[in-house]
Amino acid sequence: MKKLFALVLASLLIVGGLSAQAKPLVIGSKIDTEGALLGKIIVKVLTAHGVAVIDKTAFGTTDIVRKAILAGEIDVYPEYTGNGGFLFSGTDPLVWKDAAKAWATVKKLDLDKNGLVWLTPAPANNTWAIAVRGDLAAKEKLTTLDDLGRYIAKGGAFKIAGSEEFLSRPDALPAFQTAYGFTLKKDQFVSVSGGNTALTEKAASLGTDGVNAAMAYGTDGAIAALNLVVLTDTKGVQPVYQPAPLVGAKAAQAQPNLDAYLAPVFRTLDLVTLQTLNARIQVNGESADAVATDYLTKKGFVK
Amino acid sequence: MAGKSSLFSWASFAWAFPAVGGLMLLAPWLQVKANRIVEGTSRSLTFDDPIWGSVLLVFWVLPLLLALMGVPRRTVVRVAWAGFVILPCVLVWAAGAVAAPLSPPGSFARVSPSWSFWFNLLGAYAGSVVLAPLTGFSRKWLSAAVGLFPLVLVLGLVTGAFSGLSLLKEYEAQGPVFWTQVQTHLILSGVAVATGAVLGTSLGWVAYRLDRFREPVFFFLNLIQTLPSLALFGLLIVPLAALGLGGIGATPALVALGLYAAFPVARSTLTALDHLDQAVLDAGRGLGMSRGQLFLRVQVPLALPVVLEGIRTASVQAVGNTVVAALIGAGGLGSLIFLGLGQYAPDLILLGTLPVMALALGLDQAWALVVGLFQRRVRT
Repeated sequence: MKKLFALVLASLLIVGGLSAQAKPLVIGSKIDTEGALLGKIIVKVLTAHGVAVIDKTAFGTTDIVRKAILAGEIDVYPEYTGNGGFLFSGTDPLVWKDAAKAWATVKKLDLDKNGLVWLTPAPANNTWAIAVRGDLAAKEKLTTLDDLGRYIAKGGAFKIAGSEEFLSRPDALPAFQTAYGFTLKKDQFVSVSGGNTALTEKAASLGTDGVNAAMAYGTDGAIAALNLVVLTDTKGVQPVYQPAPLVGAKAAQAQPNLDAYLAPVFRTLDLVTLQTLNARIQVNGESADAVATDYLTKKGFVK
Repeated sequence: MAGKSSLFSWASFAWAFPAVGGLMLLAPWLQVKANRIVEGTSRSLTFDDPIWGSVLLVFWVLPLLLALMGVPRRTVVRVAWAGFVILPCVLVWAAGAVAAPLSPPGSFARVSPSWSFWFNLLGAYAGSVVLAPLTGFSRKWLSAAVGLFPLVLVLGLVTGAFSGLSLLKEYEAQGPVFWTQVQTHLILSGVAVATGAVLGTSLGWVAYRLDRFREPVFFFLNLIQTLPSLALFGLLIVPLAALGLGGIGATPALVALGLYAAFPVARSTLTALDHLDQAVLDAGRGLGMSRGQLFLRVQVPLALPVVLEGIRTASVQAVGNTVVAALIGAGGLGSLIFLGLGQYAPDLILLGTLPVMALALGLDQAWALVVGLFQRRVRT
């Protein structure tokens, strides 16, 4: 009996020793299309560099993944730089409208307060945007929000579907209205629960309930397939939301080379690339795993 | 006999067949889309797939023709019933056959069932249920017939006959992830039910033995039941993290699901113990049984079937509740459902939902068998 006990103890120690030596990184991500894609990209790139990882991608809502990385339950997940404006109150709102400043600010604040490390972001802006039906854009020559402002001000038919948050938060639709000089009446918007742009874009595309415009995110994959056009925010009303890998304190110490591995890949993920990859998942129904593998192989990041 | 009532009168029934069947032939039966999100075109059984349309029409019209030809009523009913049992099998097979060339492997086209498909299925189901008692077939025959459709489904899935249909496209895209999630789902709900069973029976026993605990125990369990699961997960994050157990992932999911599962078990345990025949207990005491003997040899076996019924309810509930666990990183079939919701992909939502339904129904049946076994054992 004693021998058995000693044996069990010894094996436990060996297992414990091994796991302490090469503790795998837990990779999480948000439970949405782009979260699944970026999560899989991180998993595959790190694996290709010989880093042991546990795949926990498409893990939960923003709230949950953030709590998880603070609690050390996940080590890496992709987050958007612009969210720094909400994570850290009291910062200058103008900071978040400049890509470089937004990243630098959130990087410094998160490191100082939470020990989290922001790596190099992708040069794509997944910000809130307004998309209109292609036929409307062609007929009324709408390409920017200035055009839209003029169109609405002269009484053009307009009805937008968006989340409650998008319609009411001062820095979302109301900010667009102030900047581009238009006012929407109560019957000109339809509120959809949750921030699901797949739903709002579909409504605009189908013209459900007279809707001809939708709340959209910059890197949404379905925009082109649904024949919608994103109007350019020429005045930079919205914060810049660039996706970047966010690394937990312990993992950043244990694996100092993560940025060297991930930055070359994230630098290639510009707006059109992300839209295209997201579209393959959302429109074609390919799995995030397959799309990530295909992209990384073609680009030569993974053999 | 039910056939004599005016509502189900023979004549109206017979005429309903071609009317309903004809309507089904005109409505679209399949929806074909170039990819997941664009608007699609419809296929009708009359214009696009007339061969399958005529085959399906036979099931609806043949009984009427036979009736008009003066074939005995019992025979017509049997033919109609058999038709309704076979129709769903032909229907899914036809859908698979039509879909295969429209969406070959590697294609992103989506072919999914539409109005007429579901009407045919629903109509056949309703027809077979209504006619079954009128056929005069033995119960064995009838229940064997119920198994035919699932058998054809499994056959089609195994042989790849349905691989052109949109649901299978989603399945292919998910690949091994689907089965990992099924496994996770089963483990999560299994452990939750086991926890709930232990906790529920103990609490039920405590409430039975100690009167003053009765109210607080059920007040607590009732309170838990009224909390929406997502709120409960949220409430658990802080205390669990403080205990060092991890506020995210499988732990909070199991704690919450276990607490949910405890309620029906505790309730049924208490009910079972409360309703034990006092005469039997007295007899046990009269035989000189100690308290422990009385518990193990009399109370447990007598209460067991009712307690197991509680566990049965808890299992079915747990399989459904586990869906929400995906939102706190525990995985399971809910993660497919939530990804599907995010992508506005109804087929992906279905791919997550159908196994949950199948698991719930399967578990319910399996537990019914177990409960039945114990009931019989007690009786003899």
